[in-house]
Amino acid sequence: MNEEIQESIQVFVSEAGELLDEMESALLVLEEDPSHEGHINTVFRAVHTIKGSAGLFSYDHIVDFSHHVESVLDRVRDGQQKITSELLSILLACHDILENLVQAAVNDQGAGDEEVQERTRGIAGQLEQYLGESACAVDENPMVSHEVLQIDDQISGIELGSNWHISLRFGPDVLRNGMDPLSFMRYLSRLGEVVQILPVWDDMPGRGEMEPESCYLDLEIEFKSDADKVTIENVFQFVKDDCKVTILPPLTRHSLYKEAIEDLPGEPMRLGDILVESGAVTERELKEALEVQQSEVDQAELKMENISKTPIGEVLIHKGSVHPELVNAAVNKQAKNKGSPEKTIRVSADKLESLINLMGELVISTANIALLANLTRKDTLNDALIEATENMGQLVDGVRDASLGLRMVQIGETFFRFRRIVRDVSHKSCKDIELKISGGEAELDKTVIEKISDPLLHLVRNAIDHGIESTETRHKTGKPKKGLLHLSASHDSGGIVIKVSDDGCGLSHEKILAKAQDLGLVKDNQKLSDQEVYRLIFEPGFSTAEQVTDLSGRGVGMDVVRRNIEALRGHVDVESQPGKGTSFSIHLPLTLAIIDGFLVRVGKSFYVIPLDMVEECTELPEEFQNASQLNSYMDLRGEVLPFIHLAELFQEKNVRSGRENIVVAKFAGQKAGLVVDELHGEYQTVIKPLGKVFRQLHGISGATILGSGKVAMVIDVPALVKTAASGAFEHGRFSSNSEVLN
Amino acid sequence: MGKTILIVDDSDSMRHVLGVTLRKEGYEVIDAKDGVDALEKLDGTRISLIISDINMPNMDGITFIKEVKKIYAYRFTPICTLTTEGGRKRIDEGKDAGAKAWMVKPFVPQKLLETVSMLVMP
Amino acid sequence: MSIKTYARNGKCKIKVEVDMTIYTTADLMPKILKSLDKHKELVIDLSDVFEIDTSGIQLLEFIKREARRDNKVFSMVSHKENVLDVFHLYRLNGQLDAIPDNSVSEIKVA
Repeated sequence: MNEEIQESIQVFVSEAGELLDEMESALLVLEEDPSHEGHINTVFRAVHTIKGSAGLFSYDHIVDFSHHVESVLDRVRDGQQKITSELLSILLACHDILENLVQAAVNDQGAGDEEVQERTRGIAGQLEQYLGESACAVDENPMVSHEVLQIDDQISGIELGSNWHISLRFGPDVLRNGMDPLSFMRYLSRLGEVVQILPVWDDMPGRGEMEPESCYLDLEIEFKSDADKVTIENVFQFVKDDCKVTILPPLTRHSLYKEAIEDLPGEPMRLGDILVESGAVTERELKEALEVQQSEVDQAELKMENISKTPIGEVLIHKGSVHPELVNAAVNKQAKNKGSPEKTIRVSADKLESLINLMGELVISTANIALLANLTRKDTLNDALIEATENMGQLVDGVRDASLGLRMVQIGETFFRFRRIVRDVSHKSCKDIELKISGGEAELDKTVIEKISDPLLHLVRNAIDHGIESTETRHKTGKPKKGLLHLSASHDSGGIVIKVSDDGCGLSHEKILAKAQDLGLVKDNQKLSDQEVYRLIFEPGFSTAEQVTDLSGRGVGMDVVRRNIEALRGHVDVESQPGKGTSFSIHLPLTLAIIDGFLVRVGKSFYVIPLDMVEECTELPEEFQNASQLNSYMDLRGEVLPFIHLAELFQEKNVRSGRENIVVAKFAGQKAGLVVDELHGEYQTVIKPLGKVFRQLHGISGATILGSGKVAMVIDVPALVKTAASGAFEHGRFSSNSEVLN
Repeated sequence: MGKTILIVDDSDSMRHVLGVTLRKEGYEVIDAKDGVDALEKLDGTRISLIISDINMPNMDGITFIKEVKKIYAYRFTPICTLTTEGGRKRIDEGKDAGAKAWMVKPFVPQKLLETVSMLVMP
Repeated sequence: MSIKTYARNGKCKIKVEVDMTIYTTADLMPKILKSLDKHKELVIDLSDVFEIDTSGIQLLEFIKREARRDNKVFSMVSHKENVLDVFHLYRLNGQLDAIPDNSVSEIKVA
């Protein structure tokens, strides 16, 4: 197979993957709330597009199967077939089969292995039931929204020809404000011909209430003009607060507006914006329509009713601002544009990877040049050089941020993938579980996301399997029948915190302790706090599940979860309340490659502390100077601050000159002081992973090369803060030297 | 019989330009350099439109507009404020005081005449 | 002083002698209604009206409606160009007899 086709197939696979993801989440939304009918269009579009692309490569099995699915979906869209939970289950199965078929097709396996073929036949048979007599007639224009078509005839009562139709409903105070409709009409006749005016005084009261200074006038005007809608609307700008103005363009204009709608750029736009851009609706009209739409929702909320918003197109038609035909045109345009939601290009991950690597090298050389420039400072000529290198440094910073940004992906997509798993797993274990997702818009480096996906999956499965109780047990203990699983992401001091929480039974102190004693992790007489006990579950070989189920307990323990997370320079924590639930928090750095660091000297070596975690720097108080104690506590403005002598911790030779400093670092709400010899300030740090042998080093998370070519260790602040806070240091346990980078 | 327009602005050149433009179009023009001056000139003469600046010494435009609305003979007289670019807030203050129309400075004479014709009955 | 009323045989003519604008309509309304109540036929003579605005037009529309409600005959006359223009703008000229009807002008009622 030649390369071009191979490349096209790759595009097909990734496109199909995206479409199938969309299809799946749309189906899951429908399962939760079948009234979201719009989602059936998403499903349809996905299947339809896959069918079309598969045809290009003669993947006939995919074409055949998706055609069946499409036919059923078509009946749903026509209203001939209701969305039932049974149908949704079948459609989800169809999704899985399509996934299999795509995989089989690109692997040149035709219709897939025996098992896939079997399942395909089975599902196809089930689909047949949903096809009426006139099966398989598929509409080629899937995106026309039905809701809009239905209201087509609502305003057919108004005669529209080549004239504008202007309706003016004046408020009572117009005349008192010195604004006379006569002046506006006179002015209007400058813009064109007033063909007909119909004054209506229907609101005029009887003798008792008549106030001649109040205005009871409504005007219906037929107006012939080439002026555009905004110009006409502007005639009434001074009365717009006091007057309801409706301007309906002439029918003859419709083709113009339609063309304008067609000619709009292919970016995704909101319907209202499309209509405004094309000139069919003015901004004022749109604003008013949006207000109407919102007030309907607000009122429904007051009444505790759950209604879906009236589509904005419908509101505009109802207000008489626009002809239904134009709303349809705009809906079609919008649908067309949706096909490419964001202009993107596909770049292979390798190319991106090498760009990031080069970027890292560039950052290092920039630092090197800056250093050299500073070394030769005495020469006045070098002021210019220093300035130039500073400029370059800023540019490099910019390029660095931009290129790292290329790899940033929202975590939401990963979260949403769990919806299917939660659904399936909870079905299987007969538990009713609601998945709540929040903070999905938080962005993380793609490589981090890829690597965190497995540990997350494990935590999610554990929560469903062991955390959340069966419906029966929940009922007995007075908990809501539906279990809650909450996935959330939020930003926290330069990193991201992902939480997996459930409202299940919580961790059992006794069981964990017993098991730990069995394994010899804890001595029988050792007193441990709840927190310490809970952390034991991250130890190797630890599993308390009484029954190993199909779903979890597949030999991947929590220790693997912890190791994976720590490999990403992250940390995992667990909190639990018996009977109330368990919550795992995963702290991760946003990116793996380059960070802003704070460079310090300890003895003869340099260390980098991630700048995000540095709270402040201060001089070490007199009484602690030159003490050789590893860790201690000091009073930081009335706060107890545990601190660690890095020189002692890393057994650096004592070459103290002058006073020692303390860097206050913060992680997950805890603070700790790190005593260092010298502060060197901010430093761009390209993190190089440590060799395998040194990965177990406590207190060090990586290394970096300084501009001078020297190696500096990157301090693992989370680990140090934690141990400092718990005071659990053993003297001499940690060591470091400059040769760990192999 | 020409319609009479009252111009209130502390800038001599502004009053001059407005006056010349409006007179050329057949309007009669009275002008005043601030709110106090303008109130003195509202002596019962029929005024078809008041065009008033907002930032003025002695009495600013907003106070002036509120005062005009209190005078029986001028309670329904249309008032148009003059504001500078970005004076959205000023326009709204003017509206609250009773001046429903506005013009944004700088403007060309054509624009002035258009606005006036929207406000003055022939 | 703003109107003069002439009446004979249940027929009444009101000559409006001020402009019919928002400044005057509140004052004119009760006066005109008073004459309307006393007579079976009402003619409003606008020949001395130099200016009329929407408030004035609205008042005439109101009087017309009141007259019709009470099954009375109502008409208007004018020859002032300004007033004709406004009637034309509101497409009301069909309701206006352009030549003043002098048939009831002889007798003056206080």
